[in-house]
Amino acid sequence: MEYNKYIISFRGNGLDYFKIQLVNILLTMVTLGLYYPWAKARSLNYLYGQTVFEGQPFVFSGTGAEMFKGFIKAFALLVLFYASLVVCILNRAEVTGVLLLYGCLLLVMPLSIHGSYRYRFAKTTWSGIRFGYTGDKWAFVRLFIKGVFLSILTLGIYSPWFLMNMRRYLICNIRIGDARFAYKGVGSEYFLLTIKGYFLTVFTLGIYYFWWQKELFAYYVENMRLTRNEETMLFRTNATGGDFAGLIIVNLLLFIFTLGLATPWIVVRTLDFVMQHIVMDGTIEFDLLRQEQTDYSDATGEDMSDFFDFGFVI
Amino acid sequence: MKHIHEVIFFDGRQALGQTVLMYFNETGISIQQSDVWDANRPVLFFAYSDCAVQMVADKAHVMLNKKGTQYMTLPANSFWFPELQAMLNRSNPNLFARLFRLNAFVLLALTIIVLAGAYLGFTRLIPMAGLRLITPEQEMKLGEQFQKAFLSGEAVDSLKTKQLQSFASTLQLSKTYPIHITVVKNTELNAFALPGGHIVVYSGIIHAMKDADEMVALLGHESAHVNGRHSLRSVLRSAATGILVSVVLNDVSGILAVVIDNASMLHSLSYSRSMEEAADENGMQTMVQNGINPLGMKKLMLHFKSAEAAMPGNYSFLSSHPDTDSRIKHADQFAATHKNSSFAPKPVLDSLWLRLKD
Repeated sequence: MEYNKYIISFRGNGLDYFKIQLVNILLTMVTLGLYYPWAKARSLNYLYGQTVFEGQPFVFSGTGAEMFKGFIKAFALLVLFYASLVVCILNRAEVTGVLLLYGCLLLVMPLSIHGSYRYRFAKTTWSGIRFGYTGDKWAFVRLFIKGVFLSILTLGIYSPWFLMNMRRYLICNIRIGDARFAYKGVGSEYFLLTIKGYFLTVFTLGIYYFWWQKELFAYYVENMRLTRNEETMLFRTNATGGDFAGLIIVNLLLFIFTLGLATPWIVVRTLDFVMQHIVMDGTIEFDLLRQEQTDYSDATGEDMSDFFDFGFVI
Repeated sequence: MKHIHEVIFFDGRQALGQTVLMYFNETGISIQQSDVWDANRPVLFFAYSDCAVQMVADKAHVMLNKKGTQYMTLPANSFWFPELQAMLNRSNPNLFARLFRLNAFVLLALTIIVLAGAYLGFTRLIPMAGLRLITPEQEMKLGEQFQKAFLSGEAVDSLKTKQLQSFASTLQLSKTYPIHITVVKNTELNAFALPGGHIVVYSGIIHAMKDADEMVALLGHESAHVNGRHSLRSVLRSAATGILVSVVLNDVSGILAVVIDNASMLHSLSYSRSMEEAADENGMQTMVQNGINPLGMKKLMLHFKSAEAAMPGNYSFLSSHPDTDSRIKHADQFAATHKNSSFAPKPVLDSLWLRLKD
């Protein structure tokens, strides 16, 4: 087994991304919003496509048509959901209605995350090799419901454990071809990091915030690994708190002084920053990576996550 | 054959790219995994309609299927690449790509024009359609709910309400809407109209007035808002901008929503100003129709002006109104045209007014 250093970089530029956003806005307005799924596909396509690992770009092959179908399904579900809620309230069954509301949310949220992960990763390829998400729907729902209940019972103290359990489950089920990702972050460490970050930020009047961000980033990145048979690749970061201060402050100034017009440049800068500060090394021979994951084109979860505005939890 | 080129091909089975021979013509791309092109050996054929180009830095990645699993890469400066790209563009006509090739400034200008067009279209069309669809009866029901919601936190002066209502009933204020007046105990100089004929008058304004014609001016002004369905128009307008922001521009960019919101606020300020001017004008016409000297409007405004001078910014009746001086000027001009008309005394109205002032 040979030891390698791997290179990842972001090659996109703000102007191109700005133009993509402009065309997206234009077409979305002209179609009264119907273009939105296609617009999203364009943006993702660009951002993935400009991320280059070992000389080859990532490819996002999800389409507007798939996401549009998903949007319709997610919308139908939402209408059904509201309709049953209204029926409950009209029949003076408010308690049933509220229980139904929370019950559905508890189911819909993890199912949306699951669906979104399945779709996103099935539609991502590198060197022609598909990513995949192999998590079990109901196992994740159980994990999610348990996490929510324990977080409520402990008045939020459990939430770092909940977040880490979720992240572990999700990342440990991501594959690329016949290689698998893993994450070993745990709640107790994350809890301490959060407490320490919070108090030091308060004591230093906010200055520590950038170092806190750096520590969180490092905790996400350095607990990740990729394995293929006996080969592994480790993730590290060389970003410092000062680097983070530079990134965040400049982004903020850019945003304020251009009234938000610079958002595409901010996105590009941030991605560039992330890729530049991730160091990967190990023994995986990526040339030998084999196609193993199946295609999956149902974007309902992806669109549902959009409705709830989860963002993409990674 | 001169159209054969070497490219790196990713076959979708293994990550390693292989050097292969590639040939393209009018219909598509053919790939052969060998060192020398041999017409007798099998080729992989890819139709242009399944292909797309992804440019990254100085390399072109030609996707050979829609799944992203098979593609070939070549240096973007290969002399034959423009020809291949032209073929691909021809068989995949694409509005997005055509727009993307425009200059950024042209695109920005185009976006601003469409945005402005959408904004104006929306803020005109939806209120227009709404005003057609909503009948005065529905408007009255809506107004009732507005009124209930507003009055829930206010102290109603029921005696003055009754007195002012009978004062108003001697006047012809609206043909379509029954005018319901509510007096609220509040020292502010304020009054406003809700959809469907509900008028709320603050007791402070009654206290400030001297003569009955000033109250007729106020009621004339507010019922002009009622008759012109001004509240409904404003509600529909803000609904229209709300829809535009939340549906059409959703997720495009948060800041865009903020910009539109502010533009809409400025716009609706001028919009409500034009409604106020119309209400002044129509209010004075109502006064004349009821045999009251329109000079009352000027007297009413002078109260506001002195109150404004005493406590600037404290009178919400004025906040969205055109500046008081120009309104006074307008009222003066209107009254001048009726200088020679004689207005008979109104003993009933005056006695009702005196009772209200007690």
